[in-house]
Amino acid sequence: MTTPTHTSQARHLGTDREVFLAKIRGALGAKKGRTITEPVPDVDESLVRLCQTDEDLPARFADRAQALGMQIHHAKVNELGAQIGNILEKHNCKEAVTSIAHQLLNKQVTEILRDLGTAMIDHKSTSWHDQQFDVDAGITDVDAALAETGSIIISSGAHRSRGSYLAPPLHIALVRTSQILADLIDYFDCKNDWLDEPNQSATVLISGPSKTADIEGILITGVHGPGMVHIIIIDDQSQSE
Amino acid sequence: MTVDTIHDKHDPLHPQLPYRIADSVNRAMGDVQLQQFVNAATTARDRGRVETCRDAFAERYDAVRRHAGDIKQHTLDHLDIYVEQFIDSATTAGAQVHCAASAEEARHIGIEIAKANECKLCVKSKSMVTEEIDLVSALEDSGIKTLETDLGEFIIQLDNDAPSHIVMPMIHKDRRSVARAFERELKTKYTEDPQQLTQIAREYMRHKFAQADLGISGANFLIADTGDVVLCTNEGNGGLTVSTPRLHIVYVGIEKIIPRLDHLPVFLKLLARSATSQPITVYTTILTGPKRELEIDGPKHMHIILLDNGRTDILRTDAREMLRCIRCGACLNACPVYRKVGGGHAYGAVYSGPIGAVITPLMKGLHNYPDLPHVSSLCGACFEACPVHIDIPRQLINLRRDMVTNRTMPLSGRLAYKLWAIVLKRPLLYRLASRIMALILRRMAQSNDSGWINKGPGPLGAWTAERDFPAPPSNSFRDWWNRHTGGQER
Ligand code: SF4
Repeated sequence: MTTPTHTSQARHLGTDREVFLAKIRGALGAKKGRTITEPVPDVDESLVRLCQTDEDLPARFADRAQALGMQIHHAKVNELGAQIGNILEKHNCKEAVTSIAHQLLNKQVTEILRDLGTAMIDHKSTSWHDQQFDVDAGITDVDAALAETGSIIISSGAHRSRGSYLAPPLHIALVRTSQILADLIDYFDCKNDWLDEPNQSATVLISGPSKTADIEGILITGVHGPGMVHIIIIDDQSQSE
Repeated sequence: MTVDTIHDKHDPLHPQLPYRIADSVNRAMGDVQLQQFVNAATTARDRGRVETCRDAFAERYDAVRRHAGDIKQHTLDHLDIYVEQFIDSATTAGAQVHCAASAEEARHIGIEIAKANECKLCVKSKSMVTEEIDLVSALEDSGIKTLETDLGEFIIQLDNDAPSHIVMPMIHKDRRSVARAFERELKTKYTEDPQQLTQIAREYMRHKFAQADLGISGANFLIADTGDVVLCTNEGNGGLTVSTPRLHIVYVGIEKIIPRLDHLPVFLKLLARSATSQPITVYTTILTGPKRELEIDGPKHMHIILLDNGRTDILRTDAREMLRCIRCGACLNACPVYRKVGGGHAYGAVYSGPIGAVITPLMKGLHNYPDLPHVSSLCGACFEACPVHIDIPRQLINLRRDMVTNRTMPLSGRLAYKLWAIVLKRPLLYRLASRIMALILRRMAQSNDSGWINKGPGPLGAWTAERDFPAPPSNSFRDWWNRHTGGQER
């Protein structure tokens, strides 16, 4: 289990926990200290699984992600520079923040941006808090991706900020084919195995550009989060064949 | 039950009690454009739900709904154990958990925390629980400026209005009212273009996110064994709410717990499909305590306020299944009555539609909401739509039963039903009575030419204040049947 990092003295306001629990017990007619005797219902895979593990996962992921409104690009490792360059140029991005946990990939992207002459914003600097809302693009890698829905999964950590994929209007996500899982079930069965760092505080599943339909049900993208999400799928599996 | 102390008499979601529905229904029925608007939006959403769910689950759809319902029902049946487990695991993850028995206590806890941390500006993401406890006005009264950041809620806040649908809060507003509110309150150039209006709101709120020192959110799910808080949003404001401010307060009802993280996909797969016909919401954020030492951003402190506020009263009764609700709004979209009156805040409470018609009287007292159990045609559409398989029609009938047995219904009503029961049990008497009734009713309908009786005499006046009664045809079904079958009664 995780350990708290900020141990501000715990002060509990409101109703005493024991009183609160006693009221719930009272409503259920249960005794203190009782245990669960009936089996906890397990997830019935035969009902809820929507993507089989033997499907062509990269193809389905690309297809679903596109259906969610994200743009898909494919790249071999050595083509990454050209792809990132194209996207940044197309959207006229002058500066970017990188938020990449994978060390090699991080080094590579840093070099690409240097070659492109894109200004790099450091999310570890003290000015990041205000700056994040002015950056043109955020470039991140992912923990995992889901073929079922086309979602990408990103956790926070020492190298990944929450703001980098939320605040800029454009998000570029780097997904390696070996990271693509079949179904939501497969991810949540062992979420911790997919974390880039243990003991992190936030994980987000992103499934499309930021959306709203609040005004007369009309779909608008980019209300708070990025209006554009580009996914570069890096094939890291076929070279080994 | 606790008495709310800060009722604003003009707040349509927290009206003066007891609440009678007639006025708001008449208002809603009088606004044809509003009705068409709400009808079109909900019908489209309902159709979308059916298509997406059938597409994903095919013939398994009903079984999946039952499965999700079973997991939630198990959790509710052992809620004492799961709440305790959640408190322990969330505490281990570094959050501070507080227990609030009532709305008043919940407001008080949040304000205490905000004051102790010297918070001045709060960004808030959409949460039904904070509406339920009327949090925002309490924060503002305590000097904490609070900004709703969900676009719909933001517009409603600017326009001093109230949400009318649990998923589409401004289903009752059109773009012109948004345009006017922005021009008036934000001093921006008048535009009716939804894209431009959204852009204006985005720019305005980004600065606020940077300045805010407090983020308040609700939660869609709590995970007992990990202490995780799960938020499902589409706009990204939920993510920003828990990214820039240094303090995060979660307000959440105890019924939001599920046992384990591996149960979550069952609900994620159903929630967005049922609510907005998306396979999953754009952002599903899973929070495990506050920011860690080495992490770059996120709140330094995280407080979770667990709310009872009448939930244990529901838990105690045979309406326990109502607490399975994941607030998807599908029952509102499917409901023919909501489609007619939902735009006019007719339910007089935060939770509207079929779900509101049941839980509002349960939480706030049947005597305070005597009309709500009747705001339904019992057609069963809500039951069919519900992703956690709640038998809402049965619960409505139970409430109607309770009204009779606990004498919430006036004596005249109870006597009328008694009499009706006597007549129904005796075929001859029934035939005679229905003939006489038909005669009287037709006479009454003729007097206003509409073919409808909208004003009954004597004690019937109260009944027809909220309903119209069709004039009976000159021939009863029984007569017709006898003529066509040669008098063979069955
Ligand atoms: S009662 Fe069922 S359909 Fe209605 S909002 Fe709750 S979960 Fe959705």
